[in-house]
Amino acid sequence: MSYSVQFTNVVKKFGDYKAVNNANFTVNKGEFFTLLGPSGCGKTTLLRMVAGFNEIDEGEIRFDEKVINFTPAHKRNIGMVFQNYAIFPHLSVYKNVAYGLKARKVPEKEIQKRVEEALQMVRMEEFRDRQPAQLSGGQQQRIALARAIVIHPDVLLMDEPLSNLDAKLRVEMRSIIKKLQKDLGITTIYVTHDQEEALAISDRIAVMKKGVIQQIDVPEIIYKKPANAFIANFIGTSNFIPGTIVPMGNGLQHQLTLLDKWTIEINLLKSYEGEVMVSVRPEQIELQQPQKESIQGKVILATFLGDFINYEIELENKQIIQVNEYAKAGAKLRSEGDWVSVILDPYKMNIYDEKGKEALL
Amino acid sequence: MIVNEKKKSPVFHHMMDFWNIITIISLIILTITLLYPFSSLILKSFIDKTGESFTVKNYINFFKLPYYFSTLKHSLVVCLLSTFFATLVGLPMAYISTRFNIYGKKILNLMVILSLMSPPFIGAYAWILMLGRNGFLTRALESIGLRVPPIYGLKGIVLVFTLKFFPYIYLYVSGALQSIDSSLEEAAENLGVSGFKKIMTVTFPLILPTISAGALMVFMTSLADFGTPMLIGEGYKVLPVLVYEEFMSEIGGNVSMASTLSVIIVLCSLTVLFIQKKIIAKKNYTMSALRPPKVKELTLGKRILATVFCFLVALIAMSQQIVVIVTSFLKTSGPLFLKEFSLESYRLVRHRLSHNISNTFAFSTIAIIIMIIAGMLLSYVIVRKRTKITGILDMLIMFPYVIPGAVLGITLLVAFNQGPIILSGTAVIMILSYVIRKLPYTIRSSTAILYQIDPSIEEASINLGVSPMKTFFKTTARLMAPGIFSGATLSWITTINELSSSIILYTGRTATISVAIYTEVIRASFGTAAALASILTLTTVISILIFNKISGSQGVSL
Repeated sequence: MSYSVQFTNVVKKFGDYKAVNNANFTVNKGEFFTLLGPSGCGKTTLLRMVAGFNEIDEGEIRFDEKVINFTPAHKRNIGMVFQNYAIFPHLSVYKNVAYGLKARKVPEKEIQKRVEEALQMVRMEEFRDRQPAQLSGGQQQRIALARAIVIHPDVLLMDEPLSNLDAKLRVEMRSIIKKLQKDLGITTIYVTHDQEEALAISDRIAVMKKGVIQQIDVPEIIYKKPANAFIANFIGTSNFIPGTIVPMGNGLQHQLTLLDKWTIEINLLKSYEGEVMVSVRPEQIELQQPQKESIQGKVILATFLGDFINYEIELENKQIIQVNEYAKAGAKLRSEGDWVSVILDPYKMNIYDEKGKEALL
Repeated sequence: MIVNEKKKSPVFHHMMDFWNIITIISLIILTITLLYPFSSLILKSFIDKTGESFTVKNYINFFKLPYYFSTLKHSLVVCLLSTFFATLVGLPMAYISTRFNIYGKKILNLMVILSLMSPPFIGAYAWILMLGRNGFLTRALESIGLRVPPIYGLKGIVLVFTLKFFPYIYLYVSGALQSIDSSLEEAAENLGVSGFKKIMTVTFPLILPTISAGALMVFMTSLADFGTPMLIGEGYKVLPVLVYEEFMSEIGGNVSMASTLSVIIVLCSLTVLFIQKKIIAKKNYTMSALRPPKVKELTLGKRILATVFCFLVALIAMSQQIVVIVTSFLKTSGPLFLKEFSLESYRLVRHRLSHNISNTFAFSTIAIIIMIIAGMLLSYVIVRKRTKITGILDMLIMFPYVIPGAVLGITLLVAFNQGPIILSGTAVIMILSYVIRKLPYTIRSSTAILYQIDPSIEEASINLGVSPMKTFFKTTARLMAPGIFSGATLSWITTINELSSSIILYTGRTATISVAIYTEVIRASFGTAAALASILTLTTVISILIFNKISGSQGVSL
């Protein structure tokens, strides 16, 4: 049985600092929901409030209609996977997974059956009699996962579960977790600081900064339409080019000028006049042979990265931007020192106000 | 919107409740058994002989009268010399045994631990048997025309302390030397610094905090030891001996002067502790060797030489036990040992002193059970529920570390001889002093292991549906066991060997083995003393061996 998780005006204070500042959102039933942000942003604090390890200072957390603020941690029926796995070092694999079932006084026969099932799901059935010390990090991770799901939790919480694994294993575990979550349909809240991981695994993502949730949306929107410059910068790579906006008439039609050179007409979300930050992803920029009436730059570093080439381009204002160009068959590597035209697509850029706090496009 | 400002969620309430109760109970017990006695002691030190008026005369007398003041100077000389020589012996031994491939390292370690764990005054007693006025070595040397000056006085005390306490330096420093990652010394060599210069610029500075911690232990235990200077010091009187004499004097002890002296000793200990902490502040490097330093292969000749050096020192340090065990099997005639083997001494012990043996084991067993339970709960409170109050608790528990046994004995006796609680002459007061004095060992090693247990292990258990209380006993306590056990072993060994507070607190009914050894030596009944000492030594050895067997490690961690 899976629940939705509702956060209503949730606050956590450490002294005067609000580690979680007024969180308001709902994680839907069966959803894979990720809290994403740099370290210290409050994502783990929020997760631990759901688990019952941090007190809820203000507001309410609800599983469906039921307020869980006062339910003791051990009675919340939540599965949790810890960053360092927290495998009981004195218990065998089998006993680790059976631990929560024993606490629930499940009959021995059923425990056996369910443990076997859970171990199968994480493909660890042949390790059931091992001691934790004999397991690798990835294997411990799977045991932690099996231990969390075997109790049929109402909600599954994961606190940076993949951060201690090497890159290849991380990708492998990522897909195991995602498939398992979909098969079981458990409402899952996942915490990570790794934006790539968050984009790959989540149904929806909440980006946090200094205790405040900045944006909640599906991965594609988070990536393509970041709500502010912080998110644009934190998720993936963004080039921020300064520009000027001048309104044309009274409507939403404006004129954007970049580097005093390149001017386009553009419809904004609201009326605005003054300096702006234009954010463009490296792969959304096109490089062409130098031509007048366009932004120009000089290649200062070319890095071959397999399926694409990364260029560092120095613009006329001395700013250096990143551009990724797909390595098409027969395409020649641009040389350092080459001059190029930098072509921007108004439909593939984001415009923020001067301070980067509000999206204008 | 519902704002919960006052209401706390019950889970925290529940958890806090149990540990709060533990904290409060511990604070109450410590107030009664430690704070109250010490306040009484300090108060007593300001009250004149008649027991009526307030005075600072005791303190003035202490600094004015050479009879009193000389003992402070003597104590400081003894402690400084002992610390110096113990370091001089322990340091090179630790370096040689960790860095070179000498033979029999495990045996060497065991020998060193054993010489540390012997009853405190057995060394003095054994050296008197060897080099005293009537010692067999003295006589043997005289018979070939060599006159050695008698062992009594300052040199005897320093000799015994050096041999008994150098293990602190040896064990501490060996541990530290093994935890220096080999890359550090390799980096020095890579930068062109090697040999002695490398040791002085890299190795030595890194282990300096450890050396100072070991030296502190030597200094403190030398300052606190009462049995050794009592037996071998003769005219050279040190502070603890003076305290004992003032307190126990047959012409009616001077309790207020004894209290004054006690306060002064504790102040000395605290000062030394403070100085050491000041010196090593900011110099504590947490090191964990990813690759332990290489053990250097020596050429055969050098290897034998190094081995001989280490074992020679260890043997001399252990000679006390050997002498005691051998003489315990000798026939005696009054104070004299005859050249004939017999079990007479043991028969006498069984006949006359068996209750001392049962006392030692009964008191120590009760004390160790209390220490294990208290150690488990208190270390959890101190580590996991850190607040200002538990910080105070931590300080209070560790305070007895700097209290010499004789002082603690006097303190407890002064407090519980009269007033609301009377415990003098009971087994309770003996057990109480053991628990107060030896609990820090158990607490220290329990907290050390608790710091290594990730709190998320407990959270995982709670998260899986086991209540916080059950989680503690099912998971945390279980994982703490090795640390508790190792500390408890040390507590146990030092408890069965305890003399300096027992000697103040015992009555005929509650006398322990170590008290009996002391009184037997004073009565010149050397055979029975030797037999009792052998029983203690054997118990100690067996305890260490059992510990090693169970833990699979090489020795108790200090």
